[in-house]
Amino acid sequence: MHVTLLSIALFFFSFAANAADKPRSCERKEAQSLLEQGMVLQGELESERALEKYKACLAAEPACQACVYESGWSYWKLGQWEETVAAWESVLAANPSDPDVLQFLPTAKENLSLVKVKKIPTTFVSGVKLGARSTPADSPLSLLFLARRQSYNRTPESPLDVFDADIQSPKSVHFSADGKKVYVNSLEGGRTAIFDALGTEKLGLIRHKFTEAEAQFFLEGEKAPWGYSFAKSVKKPNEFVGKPVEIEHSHAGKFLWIPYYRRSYDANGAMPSALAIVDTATDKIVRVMAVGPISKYVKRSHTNRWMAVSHWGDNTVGLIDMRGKKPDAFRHEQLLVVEKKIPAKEMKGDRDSNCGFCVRGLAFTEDDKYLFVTRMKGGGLSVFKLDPKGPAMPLYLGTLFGLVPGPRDLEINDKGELFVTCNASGMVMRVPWRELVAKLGEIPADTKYEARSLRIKASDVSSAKVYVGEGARSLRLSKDGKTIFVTVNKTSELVGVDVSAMRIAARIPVDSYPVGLELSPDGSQVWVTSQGRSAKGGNSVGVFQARYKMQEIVPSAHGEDEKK
Amino acid sequence: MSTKTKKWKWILGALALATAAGAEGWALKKQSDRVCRSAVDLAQHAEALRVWLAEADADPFLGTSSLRGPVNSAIAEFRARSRWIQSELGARLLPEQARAAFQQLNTAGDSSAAVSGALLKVAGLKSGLQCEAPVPAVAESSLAQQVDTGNEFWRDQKAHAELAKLEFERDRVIFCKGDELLQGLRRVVQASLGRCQGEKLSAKQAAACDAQKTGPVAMEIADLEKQKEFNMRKLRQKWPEPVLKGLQCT
Repeated sequence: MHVTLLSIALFFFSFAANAADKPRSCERKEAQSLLEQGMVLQGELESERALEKYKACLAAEPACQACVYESGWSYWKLGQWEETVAAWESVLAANPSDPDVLQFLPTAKENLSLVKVKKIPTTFVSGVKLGARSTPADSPLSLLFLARRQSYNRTPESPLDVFDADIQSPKSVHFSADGKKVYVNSLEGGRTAIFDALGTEKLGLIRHKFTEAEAQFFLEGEKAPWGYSFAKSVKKPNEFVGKPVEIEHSHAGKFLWIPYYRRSYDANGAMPSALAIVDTATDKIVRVMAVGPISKYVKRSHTNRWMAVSHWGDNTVGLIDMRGKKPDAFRHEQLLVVEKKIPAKEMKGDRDSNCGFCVRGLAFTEDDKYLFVTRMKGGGLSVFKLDPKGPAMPLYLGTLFGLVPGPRDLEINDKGELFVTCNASGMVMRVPWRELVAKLGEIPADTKYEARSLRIKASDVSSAKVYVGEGARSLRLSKDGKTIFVTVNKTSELVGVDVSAMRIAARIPVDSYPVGLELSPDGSQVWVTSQGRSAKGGNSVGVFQARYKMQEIVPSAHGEDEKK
Repeated sequence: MSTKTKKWKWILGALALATAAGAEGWALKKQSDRVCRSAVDLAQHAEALRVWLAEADADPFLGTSSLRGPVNSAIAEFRARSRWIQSELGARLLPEQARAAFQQLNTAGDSSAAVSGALLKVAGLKSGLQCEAPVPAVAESSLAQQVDTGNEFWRDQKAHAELAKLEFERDRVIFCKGDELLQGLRRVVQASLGRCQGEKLSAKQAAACDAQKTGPVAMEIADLEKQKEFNMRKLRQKWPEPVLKGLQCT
């Protein structure tokens, strides 16, 4: 599971200092204070300021290994691998059995070799050469790796390769409605970086950090919706750093909706998470709404009635009524339960994998009368019947199994075709959604809520599929509906699929491990976020140019296309 | 009696004299009626012609080349009739305002603005000219028929122009898409070259900056430029200059 693996990076900062039998510390009070200040700053990914504290700490107490060790992490986040390796080798010299250093030093050395020696380990692909082109070369779809923003190489050679410390575990990317701005969610960075449409200039930064000063954004105060509640031990539930996962816009691009994976104090993802609403005129957060645990995906309904948020953490989807022009008019509506809600007491262990059905992908049908939800674990597609124009309560129609084993992302086009990626099988499937709803109609009406499921075969419906590679993640349809783009996590590729034939039209390597992608409104660019995995690869956003060569020739007067 | 009608007083007077003069006078009356009827006829149809010219002038997809077939025939008939009216006899029988209008039309040349202006004046005679008795003439009904046919043809021309607009818009989108890609790449290179200046570059970075001039992005730019030229040639073959003037990429 991608987040599981990525979260290792998170745990570095949360627990690495405590991984030894007792917390790392300095002897002198002044040094200890500087160590703690540095760790707080590093926790907020202010690596350079953290390093200043560690240097001051070492000036106060040169033998304090805790400060040397922590400086290694700050160098890591700055992509300064030589310094990371030097710091940790120094710690290892003082304590040859330091478990943390023994665990992470090899990866730091591997990254160093990647950047310096250009020896790319077979386990991941990073530092893909800019200017790379997709294959096959003679395909009507041509992709060119144009530019990159990354935080793993501070001194890149190409001027199109830009080091950017705000690219920290980038999870998703989103173009503004007018195509002039691009928002990149740095999940572990707790921030959203804003770039111009070509990625040449950084326009701003949204920090998802909430203190007492931001209390006015929480209109419901400390109350959680849909029966959720915070643990009693949490005294200030609205003071946290949010980990931005996905992005959706509404109101013709006026607002962005950014769900957080979890609140920073909720290490287990068992409490209500939150969703920020950003006014794109100012790129400032204007409201924060509490949502269910581990909120992941967010999708706007076509009639602009709802914003749906999937809760990875407990088999639910929250519907927010977004009618009204101002964010203060938005309100929590129904909580949709996919088969069975996970009780709070069962939210234990690794919540990335202990997530019930791991609900994620969302897609409204063109008329908003149905909402499809993917269940990554167990491989189901759940469907709710909605009443977009009336007051009728949503109805859980049930879950279809048997189409793909691990559906993740999905989209529905204006022809009534549903496209779904499968992480487990590496497939992209196309299927008419009405046929799926008709299949669910075969479930007897008096079937119990939790038993409303049906196992079918792909051949039972008019489906077509194509194998793009293991770990098929995000999926985006081009505006003309002719091409699907998919990020393939395990092979570290961006793949373009010809929708009519369901055949691969182009594939191109990207920095590992890609997760999110987005197309510019004019379709000429594809941005890919490479989040990384197990502290390898990632921390990169690639900008790809897309050319549709058959569509770029002005036809002759009599309709006979001349050859170039 | 209106001022305009007063202008016909002298004609009526002349007609009275002609009637008194017997058969010759009857011929003159008949002739004057015919001139009057023709002038009214032209005045009534001048607006249709003016609209054709104005629309052709305003819309590059119609253009002067679309003033052909029945439209052209109707215009030719109209102008021939106008010249006839302005002949010696007509010139004598018509009031000053009408004479001036037809003279302006006959001397307007090919300038659509001048012709339109003259047609407007001819059309303005419509309410002023009152003939003593309607004398149907084959020529007059023929003009009405030609204008009707011309109008029908003009509707077709406009429908074709609308289709041409759609086709041109499709061509424009294709052309501009390539142009946008090209401009975008140029901006990317510009920004990247900005990073190559004013910084302390390593030898490898300096080499990478130099390589920008011949690298994949530069090659892509060259390819897009070639594609743009090719498309521009196609557009020039397909569309007249006035239409191409509207080729704007935002």
